[in-house]
Amino acid sequence: MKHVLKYIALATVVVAAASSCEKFLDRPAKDSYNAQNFYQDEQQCIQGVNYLYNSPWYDFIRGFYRVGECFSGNYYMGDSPYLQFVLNGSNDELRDMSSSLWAVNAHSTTVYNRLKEAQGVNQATVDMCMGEALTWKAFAYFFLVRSFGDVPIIHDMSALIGDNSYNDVYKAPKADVYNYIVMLLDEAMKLLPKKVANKDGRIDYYAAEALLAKVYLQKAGVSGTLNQEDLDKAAAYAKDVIENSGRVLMENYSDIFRMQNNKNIECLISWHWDASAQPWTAQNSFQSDLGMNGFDEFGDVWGQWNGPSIALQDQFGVSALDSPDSRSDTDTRRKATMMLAGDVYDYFWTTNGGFDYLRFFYDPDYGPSGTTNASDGAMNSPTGAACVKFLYGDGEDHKAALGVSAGRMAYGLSTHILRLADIYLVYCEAKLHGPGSSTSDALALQCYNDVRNRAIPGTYSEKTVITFDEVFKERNLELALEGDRWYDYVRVGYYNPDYCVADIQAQRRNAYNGGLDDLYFAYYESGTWGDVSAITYDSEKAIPSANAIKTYLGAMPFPSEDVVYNPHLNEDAQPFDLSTIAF
Amino acid sequence: MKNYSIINPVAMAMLEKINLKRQKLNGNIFSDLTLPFFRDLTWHAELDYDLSYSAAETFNPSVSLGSYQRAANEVRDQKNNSIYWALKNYLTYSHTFGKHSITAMVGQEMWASKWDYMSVYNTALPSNEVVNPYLGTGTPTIGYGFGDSAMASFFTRETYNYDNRYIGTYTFRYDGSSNFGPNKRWAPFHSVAVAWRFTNEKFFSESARRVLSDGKLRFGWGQTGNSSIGSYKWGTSMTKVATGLGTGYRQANMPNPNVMWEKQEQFNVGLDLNFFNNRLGLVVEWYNKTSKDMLMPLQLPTYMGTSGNGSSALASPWGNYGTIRNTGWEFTLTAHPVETKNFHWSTEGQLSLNKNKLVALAGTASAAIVGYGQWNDVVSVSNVGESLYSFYGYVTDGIYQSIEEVMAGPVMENMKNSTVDADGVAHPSQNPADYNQYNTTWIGDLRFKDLDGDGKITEADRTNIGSPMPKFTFGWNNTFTYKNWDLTIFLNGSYGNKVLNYLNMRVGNMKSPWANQPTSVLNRTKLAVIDSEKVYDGTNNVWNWFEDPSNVKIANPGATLPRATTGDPNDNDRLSDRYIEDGSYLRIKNITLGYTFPKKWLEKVKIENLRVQVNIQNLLTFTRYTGYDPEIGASTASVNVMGLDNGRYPSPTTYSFGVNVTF
Repeated sequence: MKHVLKYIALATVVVAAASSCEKFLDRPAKDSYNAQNFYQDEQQCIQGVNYLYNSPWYDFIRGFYRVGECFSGNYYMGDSPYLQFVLNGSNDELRDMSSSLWAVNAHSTTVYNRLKEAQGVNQATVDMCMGEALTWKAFAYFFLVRSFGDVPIIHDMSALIGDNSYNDVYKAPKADVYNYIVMLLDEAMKLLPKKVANKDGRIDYYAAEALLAKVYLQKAGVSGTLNQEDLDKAAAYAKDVIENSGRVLMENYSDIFRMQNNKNIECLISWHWDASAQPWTAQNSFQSDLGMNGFDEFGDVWGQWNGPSIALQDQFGVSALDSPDSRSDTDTRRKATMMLAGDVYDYFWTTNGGFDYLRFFYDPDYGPSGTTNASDGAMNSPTGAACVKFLYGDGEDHKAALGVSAGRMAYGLSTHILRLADIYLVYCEAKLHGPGSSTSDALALQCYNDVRNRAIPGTYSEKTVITFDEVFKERNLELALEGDRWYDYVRVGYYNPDYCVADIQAQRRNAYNGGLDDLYFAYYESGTWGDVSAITYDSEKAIPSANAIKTYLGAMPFPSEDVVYNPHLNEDAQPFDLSTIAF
Repeated sequence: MKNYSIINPVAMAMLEKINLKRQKLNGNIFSDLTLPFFRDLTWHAELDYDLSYSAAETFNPSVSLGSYQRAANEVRDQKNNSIYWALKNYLTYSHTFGKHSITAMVGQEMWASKWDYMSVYNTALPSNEVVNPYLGTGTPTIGYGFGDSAMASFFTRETYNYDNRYIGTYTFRYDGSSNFGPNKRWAPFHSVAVAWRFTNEKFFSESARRVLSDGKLRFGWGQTGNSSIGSYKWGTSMTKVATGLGTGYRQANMPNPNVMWEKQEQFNVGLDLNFFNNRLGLVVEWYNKTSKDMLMPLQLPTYMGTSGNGSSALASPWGNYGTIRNTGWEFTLTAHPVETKNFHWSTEGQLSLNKNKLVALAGTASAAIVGYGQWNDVVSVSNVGESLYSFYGYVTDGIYQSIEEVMAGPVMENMKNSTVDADGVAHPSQNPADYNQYNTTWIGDLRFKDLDGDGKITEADRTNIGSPMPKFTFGWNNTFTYKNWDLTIFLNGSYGNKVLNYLNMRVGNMKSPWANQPTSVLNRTKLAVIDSEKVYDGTNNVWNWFEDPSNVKIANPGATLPRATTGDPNDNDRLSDRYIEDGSYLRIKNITLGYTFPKKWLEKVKIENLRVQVNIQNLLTFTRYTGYDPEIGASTASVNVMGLDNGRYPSPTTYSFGVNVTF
């Protein structure tokens, strides 16, 4: 036996020595593609850009909502520093937001550079994919500059790593960042196909052009006074999108936000999530933060202590204290934006015959997808209202619309971040000249009236002149809770911060002092609306100071960690030489 | 239905099933062959193998617990396989002639390991009784992956010994690892060690040997390699990402084809002394250990897109980016002070002093190694030329006692309480009406030091606020025996290291009235009214005394904790020296008292040996640290972080009693 073992050992040695060492050690990962053998055909090019529509954006979800909607006063979120203007650079959501936006920039750049090297693939497809990558890069920068003001321009990370200069960059002034975004979009539009009446959910020429129009409008006042040239360009690009893209407003406002219409004729740019959460970050998770506890059957909803603000209710001319039986409520967007007592939604909980806001709290036999009630048995929203936009419903709704099940914090509802109605109002604003101005431009009137006609079908009387105040308010009614409102204030704040201060200080940003749940429960049980005189608005909390508002309008605190690496980030921005940018 | 319930955590823990089954087979075959024609030469051949298999199942049943429910059950099954084998061959030649003895060894070694896994996930099984993902009616997901790695080495070692007086060793290795790309796979490593036993020299007299019974001077220099970075960092894989537009693929990391072996070079000198026939022993050692071409991910600022969530960020490239040096002394003293017929006392003390320093780091002048706390908050920064892992934060300067003090500044970074002068510089507003308890710095908040003197508290005012590295660590072991009794006491400790009480920062921040807080917050700064008769009519939105800065005083002026405030506009809970504590401690690590029964008693009951003992671990710790346990060490969650107490499970005090019987 001993001898046998010896020979086995000897034999193995001989075999091992015979095979070459280099071959033995060459073990690249083989269970997936690698960057060298990818981007070889049209399908791979498209697959290589698809993820820019979801995963890198995932960690932005919370900041997107807090910046866009809490700062602007549309969404009540308790002691959130975003609501109270006490945000610091160490805030978790702010840091995640910054990481996510910079990751989008890095990924878009990487994809763009790889595609540039793609050989032997249909050039039109490669161009399309490169154009999509550049548009996403531009959109990430658009969020960055509107949120943080001056930020570094990182055109290509690999160049900075190559020459070891990644810690030497300076912040670039806002105006330069806007011009850089314009360059990105100009280049993207050269590459992207003009798809008329596009409904495939991908970015095309008109989507990039629509973003460009919005960028021009945003940058028009960045110097401190409105630049007519920028306004004209915004109007011209918007006009081209409105007239030639083949996109139209969807007939029914609330349909825009349904999963069945993840890809629709009104949308220009959207995040397209996947419910599988493969990997984590591939999915939409908005409902978990925004919905009421127990709204779906996955035990993953915790937003009941927050809700659409009283300020937003005021904008719509409704109140959580009004009886649903006598509420004057002509604007259909109100119900598609926020739930109030008495509301029933036919598109949520479809297998339950629809979602009834009050029954959800008080009927023990009423639960998502036909399960038992998992609400807290009480209406906890401090403003009386609950969010509607960005909610998908329950598991059965998800299956019916997308054919696959939702999961915990994972659903496939697309998030539309640029849509035609926005561009309609961009055009209107571009035809105006800041607060106090008005216009009778025919197309502006048509855009404004189209938006309102859809919102208030049948009863709306068309305008023949529109003022800045009307357009500014209309943007909020149309786009409320879609993550955009704060940037309206930022835009106007560039050249007229006092207008924003007055508007924000007049908002009712706080909550009611309690009593709503008793009112609603009594109404649900008896059908009579009780006395609301004892339900008071919390007026004790301070109104944000003008200084605070102006500070955040200028720029949110840039997440502070990076100063460790790059002390220049604490210094003033330095003009960026845009002629060094090459594509 | 008007009710509210909190989920019973015990029920949740009982309901959810997590099973893991592991199977393992390992072993080795070897042979040592002495060649018949050459007696001094032996050949060692060895084959090691390790096969392992594991199956994991998690099952979350559908439940309805009060207001909590999970309507659809969930199951995940995962199976892992791995195979490892290693082959070693070496020839050893040894020969002694006269007072010389030599050995020479030459050999080869290689190993390879392969793994694969498969996982299936599904939801909505028809019942909680039959658990098979195949039966689920949800959308199943599949996970599948495989990979391998390998290493090959050639080595040789030569030793020489002359009369046990002069001893020398030389070792050489040539290692190749599959973790590196084609042009950087192999690296050579040398090491040399010599020793001189001077007590064996002729000039060392017998009488001298009675005092110094044994003495040896050692000297060594050597290189070792490190390749543990995981496979395929030299290239980049495409990771599949599901999207609403169909399948997507993303590049997971920035590749670095030139990543190579890290080299650690150590230089050490040692002196071993034994006195009085080994009654007293002393070992002194000095070392200088340098890690060159240190393997780490490139430290990049956020704007490079590499920070945040690992499944969405673009991972930073791995490479050889730094040089770290550790130098230190180690002293070990052993003694047997009392040795009588019935009583023995032996004692051993150890003292270690270590200093480390970041010698160099790739990149620009301001390059630094950064350590993160729970997520992506910076807690430590190591600059070039400095000691590693120092905590990085703000310096506090007491509590604002009055609105006048608040108005004296400095201004918070986001200038909530500031006015901007014509010259564009921010100053604290001198109008008390610009201050309020919700949105601005207020009486009872912490004053932070404006280190850069620009009048503002900004990121530039963060600095090194303490090092987690101890000045020295020590251990002291004593064994006493008296007749059949024995007593062992082991003490250890550390001096001069700082601890970041991160747990206190997270739970003791007084930002939520709904969350539990440590009792230390009872000593927070409390605000009180100066003139309770004053009447308010709502001018400037002031309705109560606590909103009127001129009517608020501090009830307990000596308090060091700030006021409680939910919005925390002053950011009192930012990382500052408020949370840095002295982590020095002395701990009675172990006490054992035993009694061994006399043999002659035991013989009658046919017992060979009987011993009873009492053991106490971690009986007492002497420390000023207020957290659970000052013995923290390296963070398990984050590289480059030491001494961060994020609720680490404290060392328990354990009392045990044991009986040892041998028949």
